[in-house]
Amino acid sequence: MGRYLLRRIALLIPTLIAVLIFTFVLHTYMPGDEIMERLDLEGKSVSFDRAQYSQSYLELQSQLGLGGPAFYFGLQPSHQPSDARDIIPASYRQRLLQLNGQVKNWSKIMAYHEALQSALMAHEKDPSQARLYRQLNNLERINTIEELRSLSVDLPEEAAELKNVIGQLEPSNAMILPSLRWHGLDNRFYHWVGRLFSADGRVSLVDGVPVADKIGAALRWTLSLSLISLILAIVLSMMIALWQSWSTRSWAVRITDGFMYAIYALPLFWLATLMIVFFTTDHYGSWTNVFPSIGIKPWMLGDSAIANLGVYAKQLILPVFCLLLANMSYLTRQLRTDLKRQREQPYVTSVRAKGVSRWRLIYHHLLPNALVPYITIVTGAIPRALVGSVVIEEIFNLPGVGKLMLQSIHQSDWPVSISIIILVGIVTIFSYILADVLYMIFYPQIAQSLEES
Amino acid sequence: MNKADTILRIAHFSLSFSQQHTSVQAVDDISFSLSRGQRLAIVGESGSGKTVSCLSILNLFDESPIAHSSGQILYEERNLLDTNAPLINKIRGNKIALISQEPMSAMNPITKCGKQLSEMLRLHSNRPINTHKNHILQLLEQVQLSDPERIYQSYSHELSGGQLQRVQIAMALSTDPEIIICDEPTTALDVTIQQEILTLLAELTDMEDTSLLFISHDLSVVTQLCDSVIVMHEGRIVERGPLPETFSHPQHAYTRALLQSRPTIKNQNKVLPTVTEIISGQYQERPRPVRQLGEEPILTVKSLTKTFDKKNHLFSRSSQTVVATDDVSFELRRGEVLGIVGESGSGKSTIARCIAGLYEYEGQISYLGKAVNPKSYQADLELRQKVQMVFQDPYSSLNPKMKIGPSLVEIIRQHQKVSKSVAKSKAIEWLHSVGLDETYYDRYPDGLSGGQRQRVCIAKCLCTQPEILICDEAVSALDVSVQALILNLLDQLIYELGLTILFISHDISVVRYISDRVLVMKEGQIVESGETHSVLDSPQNAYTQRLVDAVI
Repeated sequence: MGRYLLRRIALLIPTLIAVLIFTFVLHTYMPGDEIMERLDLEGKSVSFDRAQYSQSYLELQSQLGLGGPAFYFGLQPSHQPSDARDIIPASYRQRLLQLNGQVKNWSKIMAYHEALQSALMAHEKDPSQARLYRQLNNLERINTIEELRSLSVDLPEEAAELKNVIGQLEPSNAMILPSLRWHGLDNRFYHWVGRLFSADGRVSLVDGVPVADKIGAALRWTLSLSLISLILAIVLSMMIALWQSWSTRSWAVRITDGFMYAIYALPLFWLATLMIVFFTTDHYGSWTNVFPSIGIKPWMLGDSAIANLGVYAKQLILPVFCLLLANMSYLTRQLRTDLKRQREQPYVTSVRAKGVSRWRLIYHHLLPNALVPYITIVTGAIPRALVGSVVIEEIFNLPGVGKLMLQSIHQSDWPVSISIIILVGIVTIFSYILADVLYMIFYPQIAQSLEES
Repeated sequence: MNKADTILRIAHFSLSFSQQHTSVQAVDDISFSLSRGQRLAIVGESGSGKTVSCLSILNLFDESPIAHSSGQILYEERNLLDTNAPLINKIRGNKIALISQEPMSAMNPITKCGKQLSEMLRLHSNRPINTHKNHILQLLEQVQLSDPERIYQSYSHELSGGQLQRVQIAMALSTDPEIIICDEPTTALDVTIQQEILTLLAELTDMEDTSLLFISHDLSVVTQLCDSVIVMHEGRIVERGPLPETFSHPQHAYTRALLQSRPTIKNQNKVLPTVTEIISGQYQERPRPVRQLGEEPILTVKSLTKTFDKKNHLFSRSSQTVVATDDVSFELRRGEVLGIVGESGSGKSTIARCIAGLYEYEGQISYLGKAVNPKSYQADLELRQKVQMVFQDPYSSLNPKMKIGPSLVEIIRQHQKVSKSVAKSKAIEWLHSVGLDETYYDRYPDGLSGGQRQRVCIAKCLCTQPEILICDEAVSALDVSVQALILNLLDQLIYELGLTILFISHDISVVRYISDRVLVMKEGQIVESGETHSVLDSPQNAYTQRLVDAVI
């Protein structure tokens, strides 16, 4: 068992790498340009001196490790450059790459790019050439060869060199093979991971609060919310399912079945909203208004923990109840079905022929056998409990992990959102390990096959 | 049998199951009694109500909402059918114990055997708890299990069928019950183990003067063990009496039919009589069709070796290899039936699967000089068409969602380019050839009996017009009467179509009846082979001798 667990824990490493790559891809393709935003904050905008802007942009880019190729290696069409990150802004770079897709010759495109930029810089400060400057500026937005050529006809003599370069751009139909390129350590993923684990990645971009503190504070809410409701749901679902298989009153069992089904089908947000209206407002009379209005009171640092918990408790009752209903109905239905299925197994006849009581049959023989799928579901619910309560947190305005995650995504606060994703990844792996350990304890057959595998 | 000795009396007992709108009468007004020390057998085919009546003695249908019973089951002056739960739980296991048919599925899979045994003592015995383990180890020794301590610590999946059946016997004996109900206790076991279990049961029940209620479909087992018998047919008792007199002079036609339709040495040269024929009095003795035996080998197997590796994973180093067949060579001649006998695990089915191209193997298998290659087999339709296989369980080898006709048409069109209507008429032809009429074309397998299903399975094989038919325990799961029908059908098909058959079975008497030559297998090797009669009548090998002796 020990060796098996070690192997499972060793699996953490490849899994984490996969999670990192996945979040990196997401992060890269998120709209918005972090460097541009930072420069804006410093009061430097694009309309500012062109040469200086691009210089400070590139400086910041290399400082943040956002330049260079994306990964350690890449598979690209051989005419495309492995890295064009020093061409800014990104939209212009994109257009150049599109042009290159037609010409299939990067050196010609670079010649055009340099000619265009030097012309732009030459005429930037010259008011007498404002028309030419506008024309040149317009060229930056073109992404097809045909259009570029037709526009270049109008260019005056001052831009003869540029005109010449554009004349050399010709569409090509050459077959291009993909090539595998090795980029080495100087790549964006490498720097991104480095940044994640450096001081930079440990502080929220929004308010400079350490990420650990933010997540810690949110976890306090989420854990009390999710764990309490999950534990209660486990206990209640077991009790109800056991009672259902024990009871001989078939009408009572059927009513409970129907009730569980109805709750299972209810949308959670709808139930939560109803409860807020009913229990925290005077809408249906003051006697129903028994809970504090939604939102949180801050944790009083001066008061004792117990006093604080008292304040918390009242606020947690409604959300916990909502989550509890959802979890409980699902778990009960699952366990009930499995108990029913076990009841039809052939060993039940021989066990009953031994003279065991009804209760002993259910509790000592059917239940342990029916727990396999139940364990799978309960342990599967643990990672979901971490961020899955986002709807409830949003409706009851609780500052939990789910809400923090949503917020940080809205605010492009990547240190926070990525830390939460990684945390969920780790918790998921550990909950699978937990499931395996439970199987090993309860099921000798599974333990054996796990050991052998 | 005087009245004072009677410990269990069943009077006018009936039981029916209601399903949606219909009700099925499983047991119809049966009465019998069991006296102390008596060994009473209840025989009958599946669906005759024998198991249902015996489970009713323990009132095990008390929680089933669809079962309705009437009549009385009297034990110690008390009607067990309306005894309340706490009281009947004092009788179950304690006074009346049950040994059930499938030892593998009769044990709770996740509890150690020792714990399941001690549960019995906890429920019924007054012994102090700390002596339970010792007592259990003694019991395990009593049922001749060699390593009681290991058995005590084992789970059911770690033990063999024979061992588990001994554990069940130990469990039944642990409370010194007055009656033990055995529901086909040896049916799922190999013949030699079956013999040992029967001897053990006889010895142990003799010692304590325990009564035995022994349910079986196997008449020879019953003759060997029991002193009286009840024959059941369609929920009724048709005949009762002492053994072996009842079987040597059967009064009722059904008992006669059961006895005569078995493939015994007496029946060797006759078409087997079927139950309906005997009951209706229409049976006339007629000789079996004569086979045209060819000398040329149609299929040759040379030093076939098949090993199974336990799967290896990335990190594990250990690997275990199980040798299923070890250097097996034989040839199959055109028009003959070659029987393969052996106990479970002897590698019989592995050979069949290798020939059918389902397994990769080492060695050579060639059909008419052409090698059977499992890798290219998918593409090699011709070979697949010529070698077909009939499986053991007709209940699980038909697709329940597909009508019988279309499933035949699918196969026909797979192998021949014919229109749908032509394929349909061909399918009906093949149904006729296995004795089913065209009304079966539009039926689902669901409503069919085991025998009808097995016919459909055979029809499915025939519609590719095969040369070789592999029957892997094809009649083992069937009742005697159905078995006779299928064996007659095979005989006829060999005659009409010139089929060559590889007939695999653990049942010596069936193999003796159907096959021309026989191979005896043990632990993956052929220990004896030759003409059926010379091998089975005068076995040279000790193992063959044991197999033959186990059949009475």
